[in-house]
Amino acid sequence: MEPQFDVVWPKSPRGVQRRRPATRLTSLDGARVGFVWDFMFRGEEIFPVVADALTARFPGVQIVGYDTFGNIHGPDEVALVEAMPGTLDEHSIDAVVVGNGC
Amino acid sequence: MPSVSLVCEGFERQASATARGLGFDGLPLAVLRGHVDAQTTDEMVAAVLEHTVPQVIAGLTTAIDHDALGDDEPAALDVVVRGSFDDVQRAFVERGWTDGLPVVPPTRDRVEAFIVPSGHDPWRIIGTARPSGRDITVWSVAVNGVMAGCRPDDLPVLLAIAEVFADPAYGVEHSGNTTGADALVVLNGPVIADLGFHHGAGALREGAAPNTSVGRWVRLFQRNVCGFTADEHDKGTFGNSTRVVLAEDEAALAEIGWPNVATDLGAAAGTDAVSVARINGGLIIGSVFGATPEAVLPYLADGLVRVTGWELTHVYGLGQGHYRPLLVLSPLLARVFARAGWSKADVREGLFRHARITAQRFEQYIGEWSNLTAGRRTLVDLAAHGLVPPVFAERDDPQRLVPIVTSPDHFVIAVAGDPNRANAFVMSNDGQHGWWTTKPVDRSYSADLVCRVDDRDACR
Repeated sequence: MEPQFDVVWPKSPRGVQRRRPATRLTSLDGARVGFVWDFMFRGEEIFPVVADALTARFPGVQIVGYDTFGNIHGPDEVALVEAMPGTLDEHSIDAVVVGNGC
Repeated sequence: MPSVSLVCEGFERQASATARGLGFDGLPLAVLRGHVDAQTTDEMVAAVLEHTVPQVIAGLTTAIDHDALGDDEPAALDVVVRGSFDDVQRAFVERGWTDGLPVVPPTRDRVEAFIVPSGHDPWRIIGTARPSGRDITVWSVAVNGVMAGCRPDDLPVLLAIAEVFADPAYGVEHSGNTTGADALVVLNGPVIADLGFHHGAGALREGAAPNTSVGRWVRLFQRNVCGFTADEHDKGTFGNSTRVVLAEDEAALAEIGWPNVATDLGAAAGTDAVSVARINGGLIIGSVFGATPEAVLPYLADGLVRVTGWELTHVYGLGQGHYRPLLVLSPLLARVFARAGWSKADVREGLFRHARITAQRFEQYIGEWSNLTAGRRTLVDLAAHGLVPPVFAERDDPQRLVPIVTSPDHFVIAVAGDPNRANAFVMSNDGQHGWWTTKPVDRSYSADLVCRVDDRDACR
């Protein structure tokens, strides 16, 4: 008879609690949308295209550009990301477009 | 606050897994079709307008069905496979729980026997593994230690490495980045001799059981606990093979009066410690000829230059002063310096003077051949804004020579390998995507397990 093994799970439970996603907006009209960028992968070209497209479809949308929020993948990444909720509040942001994961 | 994340095609799975690890299951994505680095402007704009923008709008305005998202996983002590040795191997391969090699079956008895001699509480949480969001527990460290073929005596070393992974300064969450660096553990202190780690000939090759099995544990732990598999967080385009633990030749260091790597990085002299960094790659500096520091230094510096390219974005761009390459000297080469009275600091100063490239080539790496330094700024401009030291902009001649690190201290120097050969090895690190981080190895007996199981009050 071959030896039998009862083996345990090599992973570990998720300690991070699930959070309820924020309620989505009913429309982008009148919303202040912040662009948050990691300063990589042609965001300087992509975000203006997205801004123009959103503005064309939702004339009341207000875009707050990525320069307002800094480089979220640069030397100050940890501190900047930690401070981000306050920074977004400070600029009365209603929704965020963040990029680029490439 | 509602958000939507822009990701290139092929990153959807990783992005969703990362969101889950942060507690945000189902976070909306807007996909950039293809990869933006390989598209013309017209191609990119067309794809963004046609495909990405509608997903941005939907992501910010469409409700997420949070209740429909589940997470049904086993508990730590659940038996997940029951069967023969072959059954276990097959199941672990199918479920992505191995590095492709057979593992020691982690039965509960074997894992408990792995922990008990050190007295640790198996359920002590060391920290959170990112990006998976899983708990780093003594138990999870031990399960993977058993699988890797480690010994119970190795547990304090594994726990110290786990503490590195739990430290935000290290940045373990970057371990799946596309450039694919992998962790190197440098071991220092009396633990090397006490536990039989190898530091001589073949120091960076599989073969010595302690070095090999602990190095293997790094890979298994990062897969299983941190989540670096192709199904979740690993986006390494090529990746590296598992690295064995590099144990330094402490006797040679003591003989020449040089501190070891851990001491250089802040550990107390003479103590046990691990130092971990993610390494992109390396190369041999072979058959170094010369009996004086002046004779051998240019060749060593040349090796550091040759191993360095894209990594300069960690000098400025992805990082700022975050490039810290490793030079491993054989004991024989280290003695060439020491007998001439050179300290390690002297060697680093010498490397800083010699390991240089033209400013033009530097700027090509960070802003022309790659596209990671927004705005394609010159070193003169960066120096004028205090973003790199003045030594990078002493003149504006593009052919001037500039350093590859921002400070001599950023060369990490280790001593290991065949004591009688004049060779060296250089490795480029991945900046703050696995930043050099040192933790002590505590081999003292822990009363945690006794406190937990037998008499909690006695241990307060």
